[in-house]
Amino acid sequence: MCKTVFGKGIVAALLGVALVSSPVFAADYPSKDVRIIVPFKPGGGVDTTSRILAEYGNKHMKNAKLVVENRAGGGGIVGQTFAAKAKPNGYTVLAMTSSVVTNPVLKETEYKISDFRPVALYNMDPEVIVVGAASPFKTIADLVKDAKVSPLSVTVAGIATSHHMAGLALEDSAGLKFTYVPTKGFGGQLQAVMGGHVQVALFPLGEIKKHADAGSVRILAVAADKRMAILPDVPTWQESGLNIKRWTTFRGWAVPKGTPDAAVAYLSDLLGKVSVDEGYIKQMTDYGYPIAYEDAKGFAEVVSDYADLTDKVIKKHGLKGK
Amino acid sequence: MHVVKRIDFWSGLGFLILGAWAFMTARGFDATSSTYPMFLAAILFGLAALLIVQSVRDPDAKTVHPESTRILLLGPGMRIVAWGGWAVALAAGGGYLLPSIVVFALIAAWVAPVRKDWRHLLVAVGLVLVVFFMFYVVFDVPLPIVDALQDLLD
Amino acid sequence: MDSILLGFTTLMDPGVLGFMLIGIVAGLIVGSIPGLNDNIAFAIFIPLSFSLSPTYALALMVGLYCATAVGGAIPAIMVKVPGTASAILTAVDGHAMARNGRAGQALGIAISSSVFGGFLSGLVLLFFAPPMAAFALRFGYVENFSLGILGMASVIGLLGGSVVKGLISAVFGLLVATIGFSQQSGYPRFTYGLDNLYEGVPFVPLLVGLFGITAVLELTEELVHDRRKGIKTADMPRITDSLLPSWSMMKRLMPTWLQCSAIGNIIGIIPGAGMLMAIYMGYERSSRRYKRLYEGKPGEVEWGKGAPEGIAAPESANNAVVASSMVPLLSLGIPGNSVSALFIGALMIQGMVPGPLLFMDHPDIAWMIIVGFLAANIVMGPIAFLLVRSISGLVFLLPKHVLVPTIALLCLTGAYSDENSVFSIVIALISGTVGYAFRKLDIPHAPLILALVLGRTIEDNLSNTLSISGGDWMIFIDPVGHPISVALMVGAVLFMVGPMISGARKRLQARRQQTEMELQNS
Repeated sequence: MCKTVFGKGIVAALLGVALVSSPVFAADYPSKDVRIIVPFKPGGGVDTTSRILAEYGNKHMKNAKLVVENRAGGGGIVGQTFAAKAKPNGYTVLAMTSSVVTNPVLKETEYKISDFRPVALYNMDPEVIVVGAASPFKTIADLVKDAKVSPLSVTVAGIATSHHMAGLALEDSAGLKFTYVPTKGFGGQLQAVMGGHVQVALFPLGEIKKHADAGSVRILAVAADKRMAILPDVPTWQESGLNIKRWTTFRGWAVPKGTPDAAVAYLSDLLGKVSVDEGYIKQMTDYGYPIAYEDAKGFAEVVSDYADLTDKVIKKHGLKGK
Repeated sequence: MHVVKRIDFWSGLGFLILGAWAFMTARGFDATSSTYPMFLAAILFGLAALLIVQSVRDPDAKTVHPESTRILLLGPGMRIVAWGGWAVALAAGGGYLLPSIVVFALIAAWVAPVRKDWRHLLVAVGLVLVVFFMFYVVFDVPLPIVDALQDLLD
Repeated sequence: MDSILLGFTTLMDPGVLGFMLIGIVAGLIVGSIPGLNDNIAFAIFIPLSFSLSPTYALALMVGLYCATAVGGAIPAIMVKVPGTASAILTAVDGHAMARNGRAGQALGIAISSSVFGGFLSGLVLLFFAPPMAAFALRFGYVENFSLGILGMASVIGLLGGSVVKGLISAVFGLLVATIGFSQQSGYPRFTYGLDNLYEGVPFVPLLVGLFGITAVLELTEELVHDRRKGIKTADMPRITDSLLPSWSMMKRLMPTWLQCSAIGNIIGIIPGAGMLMAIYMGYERSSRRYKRLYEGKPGEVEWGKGAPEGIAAPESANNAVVASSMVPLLSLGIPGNSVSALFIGALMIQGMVPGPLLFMDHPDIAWMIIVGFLAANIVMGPIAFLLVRSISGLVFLLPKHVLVPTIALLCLTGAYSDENSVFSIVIALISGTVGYAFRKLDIPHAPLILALVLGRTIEDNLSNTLSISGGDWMIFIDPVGHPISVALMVGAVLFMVGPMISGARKRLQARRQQTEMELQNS
């Protein structure tokens, strides 16, 4: 991996060595490395899945490579803004998460969701309701019964995140009562629910699946359209009478507005090829990230669905401006 | 009775203003998140007032010395300004190498035994290149590069 | 036992050992360069671990993780600039000792203390991980709040001069820690629309500024002072004495090592408590002990002026945190700190998940990591003793007027690399200036740093506790529901009252002596 970087460094060090490159979008796209901007620090879910994608994507690329670049800060906003302002030449891709949709609504960001063009989606993570192994709630029905009487403490990874909004949506649609206990990141949540310091936790499936397999937590219900093959015994939220058909966060690629169609098509196809690669599928499922693939058009629909869903919650609960 | 020369008097005053400002700012936050910073700001204000009182009462309080103030401004003060200017140059798209070399050479020459010596520039170029190599190449850090050069690299 | 053997056989592969050695050497070098830390080194090894076999990649990371803290002590002792945050207190007594012509001893104590602390926590990881993890799980919001209070209380014992200034420093730090999103409501506090402040003041540049830039400014002041006075600036200390600590020195340091390793181990296994808290708590305990047993005796210096315990305490505490921070990660899958969180990334790339499943699915790897921490600490000692001369010799390649800006450039570029942003440089400059101003105004640093580390913990856990308990404050001293919290609170009170009592006793003693003298005179 050091080869290209090394080369770049040498060139940069030797000021004035002329390299020929054409500024016009060329048919030989990609002729240089495509950077995937990860708006978080190395080691997290977005970073790691991006690196796995790059690893497998590079098998299908000839003259160039996918290179992951971390631009952390501001809960993702710094990197997202950086990508939105990048040159729309197809060589800067944002590792897009659901927060790109909600951030401009909730916070004063310099970008709007319309500043991005969705490329493709590679992972959909449905929200799950989780309790500790020692919890008295054996089924979702037990939990619903209690939550209707008095508020249950539920830990979420931050206020006004997709997970907090999922909880608010549950309150609205199923009449449950929750007291929110926000933590920074999923590690703190895990500690709280495993240690019995809170009664319930709301997680994206990918972050908790392996812990459920190990038996340290129980997944009671999943917010997917239908029962998932990897969780045959877990009812959906709809089946459990929670009146929410689907609540998922997603991961995908987006490029700055104005990126040429050819580049979007190329990258979208690339993700499509990767998503059927056996090694890639194994690695993602090993960790518990549900694999999905939507091309540019499908991804755009997912994004707008998600925007509608969250807009309702944000307006109703006055999350805006916080 | 040179209260105005006493160091603690001035630092007390500084924290007093800071506490008052933080308190007023925190009042504008929403109800759940304002209590704690307001509480802290109030304590800071109180402690600062106490420090001022102590400094006024204490006859042996440490006072400001003109020569050490001069050293403070010429040494650390100039450094902060120089590196601050460097940060501005980096943010303004001046790249990494040139601003670093200029600032490094200036700073090294300023405290060197012999100031006017062209070798300072040579040393600066060498060391900046070493640091650049370490971060940009070995650690793969995307240091700022002048746009023109970046296009060239691409 | 079989599983431990399995770990050993995996580790004994020459390739695995080789990568561990590379990690150790790289860690020593990275740690000894101010501005570089284990976070940035890990960040480059995570993508590399794609092309390596998992055992190689993890052996490398284990070696690196163990060695950076040791490397950080080298510039701390030689130049008084800590290479990593973990050496922030080592710089005080370590550099003073080096200036007294005992640089070799100082380095030797630092290395042997690190090895001892690291080895002990490796043993804890090997034999007591399951019960310790169960203990760590008992830390909920209530306990974590009390732990934060205990951490803040421990600093009271470190306040030398004015108590008011110490408190100002602490409250200022707590106030700075409130910058950024409020966890309770999401409201951005004191951010002025700056995205980079939303998550709080970025911590790595903040620390780099406080220990690196502050030290650079102090060195600059010295240079300018000498220049104006026409004095030739004193050379950096050189190693002239033996590196290996004597047998009697080791025997003397044993209680400090045991005490600080124990503190480091306990703090280390609690997710989120952090290395700096362990270092300060160990340092405070040792200062108390040193003042009681040694200070004022012939041949013993004042605390902070080169006391061996002042090096042994932080160095054994910081390395004790290293392996024990892997306890919650490996047994529960909960990351203990930011570096062990990076282990998750490295494992994930290999399709492995830390936690109980790792022991079922990949026992060879799980046990190799555990045994690796033990092995790395054993191997690290000799390597460090061999390398430390050449690394610390590098300092003399550059004259002082070049060395100082080099350190500044390294620190500031390192700050940039944390989030790849110039904003981080500005943060490092500001915090360096504030740190330097605090020095000039005789305001202690320790309360500020601990407050910055613990501020968020205290506020967030307090509000979470109160929202669960329905506003009941008595929950913190509920002996039935939260016995750990009660113990921590009692500890905090003792920390606060202790110095007051000993102060009162000293005054009483002085008065008694005075009256006796008066009686004799009359």
